[in-house]
Amino acid sequence: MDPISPVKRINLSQLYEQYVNATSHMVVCVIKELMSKGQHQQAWEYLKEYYSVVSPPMIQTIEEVLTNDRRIATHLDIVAEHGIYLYLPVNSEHIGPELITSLVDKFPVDIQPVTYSPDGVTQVTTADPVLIGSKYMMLLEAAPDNWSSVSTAKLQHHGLPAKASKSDRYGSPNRELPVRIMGEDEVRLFNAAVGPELTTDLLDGSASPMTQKEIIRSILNADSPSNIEQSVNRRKVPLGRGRSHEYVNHLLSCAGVKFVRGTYDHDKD
Amino acid sequence: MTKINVRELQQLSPEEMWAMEDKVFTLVFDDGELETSTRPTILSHYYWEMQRHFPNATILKRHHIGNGHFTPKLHEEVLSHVLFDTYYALNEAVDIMLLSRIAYEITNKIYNDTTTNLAGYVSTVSILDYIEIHNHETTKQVRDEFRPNERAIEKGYDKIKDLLYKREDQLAENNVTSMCRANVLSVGQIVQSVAARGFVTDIDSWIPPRPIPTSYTEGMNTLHDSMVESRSGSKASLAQKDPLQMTQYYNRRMQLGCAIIQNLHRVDCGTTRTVRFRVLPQSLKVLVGKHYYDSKNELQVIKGDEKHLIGETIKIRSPLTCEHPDPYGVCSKCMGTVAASVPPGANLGHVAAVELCAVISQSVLSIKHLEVSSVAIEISLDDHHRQYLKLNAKGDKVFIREQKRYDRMELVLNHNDVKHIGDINTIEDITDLSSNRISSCRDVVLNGYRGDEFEDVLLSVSSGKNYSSLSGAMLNYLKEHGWSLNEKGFYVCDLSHWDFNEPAFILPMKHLNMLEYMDVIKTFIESSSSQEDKNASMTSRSTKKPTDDKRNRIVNCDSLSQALMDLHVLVSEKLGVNIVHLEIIILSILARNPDRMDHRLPRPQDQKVFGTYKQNMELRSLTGQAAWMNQALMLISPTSFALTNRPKHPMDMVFMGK
Repeated sequence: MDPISPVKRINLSQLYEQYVNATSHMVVCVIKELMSKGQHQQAWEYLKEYYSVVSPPMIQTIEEVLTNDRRIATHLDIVAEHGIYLYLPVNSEHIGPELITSLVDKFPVDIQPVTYSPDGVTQVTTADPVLIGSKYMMLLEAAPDNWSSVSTAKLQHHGLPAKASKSDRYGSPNRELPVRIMGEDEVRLFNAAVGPELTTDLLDGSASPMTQKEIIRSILNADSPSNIEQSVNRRKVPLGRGRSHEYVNHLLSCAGVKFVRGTYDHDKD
Repeated sequence: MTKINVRELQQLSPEEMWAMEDKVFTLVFDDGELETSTRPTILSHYYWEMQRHFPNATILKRHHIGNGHFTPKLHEEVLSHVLFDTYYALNEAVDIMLLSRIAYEITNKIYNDTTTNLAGYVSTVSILDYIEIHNHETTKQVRDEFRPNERAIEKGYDKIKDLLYKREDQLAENNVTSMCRANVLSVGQIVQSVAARGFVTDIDSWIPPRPIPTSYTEGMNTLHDSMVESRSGSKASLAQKDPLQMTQYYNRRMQLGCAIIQNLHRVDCGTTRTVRFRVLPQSLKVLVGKHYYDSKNELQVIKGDEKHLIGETIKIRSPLTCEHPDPYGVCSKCMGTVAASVPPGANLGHVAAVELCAVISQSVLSIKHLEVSSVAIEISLDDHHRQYLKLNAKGDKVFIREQKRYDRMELVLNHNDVKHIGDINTIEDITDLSSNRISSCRDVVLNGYRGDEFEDVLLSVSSGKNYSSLSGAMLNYLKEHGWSLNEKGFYVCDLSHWDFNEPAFILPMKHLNMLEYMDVIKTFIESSSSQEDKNASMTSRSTKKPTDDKRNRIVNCDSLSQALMDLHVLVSEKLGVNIVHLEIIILSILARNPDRMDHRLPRPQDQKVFGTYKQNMELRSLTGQAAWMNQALMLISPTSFALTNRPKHPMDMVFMGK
């Protein structure tokens, strides 16, 4: 059990689940042993006692349903083979410190140091005793099992990277389109950390079809494609010609407006 | 006891260190001796990697982790000491990025080797650990003494904190207390887990009157407790949407505005100008690294333990008075030793904005993790308000003081604050009414008459955005005696028959949330108009107003010192941001002559005037504004074309290429 997450996520109930399941496992082991010795009646009494402590709703149901020896024997066989399936609703009032105290008193679990293999090779035994108990878990679908390498971006009719269609997304085992790493926040952060020149260069690589072609040509012609000194000749393909800039500048120029670099004079009075 | 020179151990390999016999010895450092043992020395050995790279650097006692618990915070502290002590021992001649890389490798190596060599010491936790704490005498006592008020809960929390964090003789084998003492669990969360959940705040900052008496170990067993507790989740869900967007938007504004301060020059500009700064008790920890002139007029660095400076006014070197010729930069001496931690080429203004705003964003994002039992805001009165108002002991009821010098007094209420006041005339018994639904008062005006003389006074009956409501007694009084309207349409109530021993206003139990706090800081820095100011003004030119208005703006400050002090006081209420970042934020706001639309950063000889954020954006390089907002207005504004001498902005190249 990760010792930090129950507090970090304020989810202490999982610790109750773990302890109750550990006790149930121990009870099953005792029942198996008693049954192997032919002591079925003792096994049944032991199990009933456990049900009455751990879950009053469970013992009530059991007493209503298991009314003859045949049913009891079948139930014991199922418990011995598959373990205990407790009926313990999460809103049961008796779940709390008193329940655990009762279980510790009447059905103590032997908690011992654990031997495990941290690297898959060497065996290590823990210094402290470790409680082992099962826990119901749902795995999230967030396993990073798809490829990260991508093709160059497809362009839409404006010359900007196109949104992935369904066929792009599912038609290939790998991702066909690059991810967007330069959102609005990222542009500011890049600008502050590595300076405007590199930021502009990165933006230009996505938004300028000419730059994109130059990069692809460089990769295809390079001796070592993963180590290219300069992928774009900026004399030939100047910065600031991305389609997003071109469109804005075009529209502005139609209205008679143009961004120009001022002549800043700091010392002018 | 065996004495070992630290340099001998430093030369050993990690394998040799791990193979050392477990014993106690005295370790001789460059600055003294330390009695310690093998285990903490093995871990400390990793930090001396820095001195293995730079043998001339000193190895000091503080480069050892000591004999206590090895916590994440301690790791950061020791690593920071090793890095910066090496940097200064080598006269700042070494590349700070190289030192940072070594520090990163030290962390990585500690992680790898401890996970392999200490695999047997992997710890866990089970419900038995929590039950042991639950059944401890101290916890039982806290449960028995539980009372449904903030102070009692705070007191209970303090006892639990003392048990879990300080009393080493208690619960020695308990894994939860071990983690507490190793500082890997949040104090706020652990007290809720074992003591009592306490007061919860709703999404509108309202605190339900009954706290949750049980802890997460016991669980919540009543419908009331479950429903009240559900508010934490609601707040967290809400914070994922609009509030987070608002903080992000604020970050953007701040970053774009401050980015004009671009460069750090690792030189001394040699200025003799300083900023006067009055050291408050909370100031020392955020002044660390600043250079100041001591009583002998010598330049010293503040280390954070100079308690004798509290209450003194000191002269500090500041970016606000830096004389470096770069119009967009400051020198490292004026910035202080914090300059060493700024990566080369980083934009200083951006760093300052991030240092301030990141804490606010993080607080909004992890709202449910940071919340302990809620404590309501209490109003406090300054000298101006104390003349006319008084509070009860708890600070949640506001009384009007009778002014003997007046023949007659009137209370003026803003019609926006008491929109549903007419409802009190439609029902017989107003005790059933929820007074905070009828009224929500921010400011009121008291009119006083004496013969032909008339005086009106503006009074604030709110704290931040926590507005007070009219008390039941005041509602009854209004129902009985009625009111009239003045020429502005405000409600005027004659107080001739008012019992001044009755409270006039009640402050609701509300928690100050980070968004409201952010708005106060934003209003101060940007000198912007908040939504409340756009409502009808209750004052005229002759109205007496408080001099120390908490809704002050930086443009109202008389000097750089006052602006820095006011911003520091405001920020240090909840955050610990180094003073240098506040100085850089203020520096980015300065302009030469806003009246002549000159928003260039001032030169040393220029008068320094505070610009408003909006004007700074409009009248400096327009690429900053284009990245911010109001692009359409920018394109049609004549000033966009008329004013050509504008300071550069880092966004220039992004917009126009090279």
